Amino acid sequence: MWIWGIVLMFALIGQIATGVVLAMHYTPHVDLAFASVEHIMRDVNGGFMLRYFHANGASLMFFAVYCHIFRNLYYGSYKTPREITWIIGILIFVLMMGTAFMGYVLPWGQMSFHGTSVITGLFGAIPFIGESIQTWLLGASAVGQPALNRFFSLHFLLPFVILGLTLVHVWAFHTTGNNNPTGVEVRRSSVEEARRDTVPFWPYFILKDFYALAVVLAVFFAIVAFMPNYLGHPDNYVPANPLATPSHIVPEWYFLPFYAILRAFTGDVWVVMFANWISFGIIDAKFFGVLAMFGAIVVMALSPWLDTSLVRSGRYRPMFKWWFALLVVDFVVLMWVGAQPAEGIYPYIALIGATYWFAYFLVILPLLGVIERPLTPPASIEADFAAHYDPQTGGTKQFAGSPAE
Amino acid sequence: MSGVLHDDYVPKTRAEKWVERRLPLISLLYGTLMIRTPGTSTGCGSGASC
Repeated sequence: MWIWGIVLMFALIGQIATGVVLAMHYTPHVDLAFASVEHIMRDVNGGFMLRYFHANGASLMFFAVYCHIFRNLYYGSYKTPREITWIIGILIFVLMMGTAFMGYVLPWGQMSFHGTSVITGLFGAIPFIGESIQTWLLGASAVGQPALNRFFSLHFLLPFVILGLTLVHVWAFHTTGNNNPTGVEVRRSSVEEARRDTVPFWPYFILKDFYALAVVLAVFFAIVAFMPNYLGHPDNYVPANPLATPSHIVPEWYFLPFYAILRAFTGDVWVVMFANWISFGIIDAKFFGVLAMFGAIVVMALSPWLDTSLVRSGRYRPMFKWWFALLVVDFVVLMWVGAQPAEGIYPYIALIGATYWFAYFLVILPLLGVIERPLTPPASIEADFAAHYDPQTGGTKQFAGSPAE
Repeated sequence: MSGVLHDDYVPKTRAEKWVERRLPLISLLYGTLMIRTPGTSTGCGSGASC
């Protein structure tokens, strides 16, 4: 799980490189955008490959970033002294979501158009100023040419902001030092001790990172080459038509957990009814859903201050492990239910999933630090290594006895 | 460089120290953007003789 940083860096640079070339052939005009994408696919040399790389590259980035985030949540990488690294990471994640959303608008297919209407419509739910914000975002009262122009502009700009923030992210964790599976800090009282707790960047980290990158890219290029539209939606191969709304509007897979949280809080949920009553009707179900969706990211960002445990790594936290595993399952269930229609049993599943998400960060994480009795972490990274590996060979102890075995 | 002492950023408040330990951004900006004035840290600036 300690490989996703290099995958994300590769994916980001790949997205920027392919995006710059795609922008050379793309036309941000409501009458020409769809056709210009087809032009890229059919006429531009290697254009289909560039576009499929770019479209699936977004999925690779989100897959990697979710693995990266959940790795951090399990090993407590967000804990002091790495709070700033964590917050910058969350900022990058939010910018990624904005960038991906605006990129999905550009082909100007059916799902681009109606997805944009739904998502920008969320801002209209903000009391008093919502409609003004929505109009300001769109540059008009409805999705159209001004929206396409500015989304194209911002979709081009934001990846460079993300790249800048990524460099600050890397700088931040180089200042504090990396976390590791034990969660125990490198001893820094002497150079000798620090050496015994660490391994050189070359060859260990370089080879580990590039080996992992090669494996991940083998899967990625298999998808790009053999099933490039698997993660897309067929409706986006239909030109945008404001007069024909698709029967089932769904965002891309990586937005589904948060989309499920958005839809989970309907008007008949008692929390929503209470919020509506206490705010004299200002907070309605739609606005509550918007707050919940953004709140889901905010509570995650506050993890360094919500987690009260003195032990960093989940490896030594017997109760935490189970709650964390449930959070991962919850995330996957939310992703699945986000793609289902908002009827029947699905809204109830979404509500349970959304409730657990908030309960994990706001209740379970603070309480576990008080009630859990963690195991004793190793005194040092060297001690942990010595307990599991042969200090001479670096091999696992069971194989270290005789090479002939 | 010239052997003349010049001032560097020193975090004073708890918040400044907290940030500096995690991301020395302010000291980078300070060291990069501030015009190094000889003698300000020793109280020798503003034309005073040292």
